[in-house]
Amino acid sequence: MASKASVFNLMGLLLIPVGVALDFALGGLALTLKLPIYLDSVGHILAGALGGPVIGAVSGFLGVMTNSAFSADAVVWAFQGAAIGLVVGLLAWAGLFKGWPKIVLSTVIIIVLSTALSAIISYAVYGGFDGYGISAIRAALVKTGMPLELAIILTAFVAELIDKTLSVVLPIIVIGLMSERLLYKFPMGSLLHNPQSNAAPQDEPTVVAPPTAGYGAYGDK
Amino acid sequence: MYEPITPAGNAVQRANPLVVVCLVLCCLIDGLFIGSKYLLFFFPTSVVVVAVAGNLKRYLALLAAVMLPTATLMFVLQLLANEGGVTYWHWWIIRATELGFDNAIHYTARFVVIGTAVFTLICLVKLSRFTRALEQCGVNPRVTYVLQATVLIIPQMKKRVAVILDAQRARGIETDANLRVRMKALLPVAAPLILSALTSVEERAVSLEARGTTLPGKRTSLLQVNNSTFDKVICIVAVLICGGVIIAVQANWWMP
Repeated sequence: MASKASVFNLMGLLLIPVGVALDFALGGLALTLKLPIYLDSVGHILAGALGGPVIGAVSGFLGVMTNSAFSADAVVWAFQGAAIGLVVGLLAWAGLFKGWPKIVLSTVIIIVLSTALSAIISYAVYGGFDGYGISAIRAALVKTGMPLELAIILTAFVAELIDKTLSVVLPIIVIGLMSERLLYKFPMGSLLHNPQSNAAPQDEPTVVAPPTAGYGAYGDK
Repeated sequence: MYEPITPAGNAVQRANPLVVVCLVLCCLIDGLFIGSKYLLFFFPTSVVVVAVAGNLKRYLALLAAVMLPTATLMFVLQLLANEGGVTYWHWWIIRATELGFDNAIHYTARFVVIGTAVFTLICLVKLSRFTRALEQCGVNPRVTYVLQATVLIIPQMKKRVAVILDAQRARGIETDANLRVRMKALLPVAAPLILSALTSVEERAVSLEARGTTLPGKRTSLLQVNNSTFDKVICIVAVLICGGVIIAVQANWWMP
């Protein structure tokens, strides 16, 4: 018979392909709905939150690498994906996805990290003008006299602010909708569950069921 | 007893996938250090190698559909956003200068080197042979399963998105109206998709467990990848040349 630990590890491991596929599918969904966001990091943020730092980092790295088959310039952002997955896993481990104030703090941390990495990679590898549409806005800002470095940081921040906020909020909403039975099967499930949110109110009177009538009692009424 | 499947085809098709990955990565790293002139060597070489492997049509299709539009956008933006030196062309507020042209050539060439390496790997390396080669090198079969499952799950997930999208449209959720309405359609499509994906994780785990994935012991595979001493020597030589080129360029001993 299967040991509990092996199934537990397998659940964590299988989060990687599912996270990568979600990155891909939700990225495609954003394109289908013609939304001005990428949404290609929901999968590895979810994998990091449910599976921990290592699962999140591997999922983020593979997610971006897989996307590079359709956008060759994306390869260099694999390290950004890995870093976000790693940090999300660490934040979940520290219990920073329990309760909305902590979730807001986690989102801010992810946005700052994502902006910094995006700006650094874009500047170092492509001189600030990568193959994404936001580079056109960046070029327009530079033409108006804004320093290149400031234009990169500003445009990266605006893009990441909307994208990463949605990418964190969506998994958190879904985790909130998950049953406890399913949630506890993932390596970090117990750290994400907020017992107060599902607990019954303490002052509510306990309804005691009447003693079950024996066979034939129905006919005595 | 079983008979291992021996790969058919020419030397490129039979090559160890780990050697191919090693060589392409070394070429890519060298390309990032050497500069735009390197593309004159790397691009034609990759075209010839992919043609020998019989995948030239797919390779050219990828280049035309994915790399060409991005490279063009990158070139134009670099050309127009950077100003300095001699002005080549001027119209209204748009100016193409020497600095812009140099930057455009440099960064677009860098992008093309990265893209060429990625598409060469896509066209030369079969995932099944790559994962088998990793297993033969001692990598845990569970890790290689993750790599294979990633490629298998993506088409399933794409189909699921289409099904959920159609179902939600049938329920009256608009997906073609203005931006606000389209944003509202995101949650009703994304939430069932993510939830069903997570439920499938449990199903897959139970299914793999039933097939003995977590049991210890040596696995038998019909697919065998040749891993000779010559392959190892090629990899070591490639890494040494790559390191030598980086040192030579960084120390200004060689300025291509």
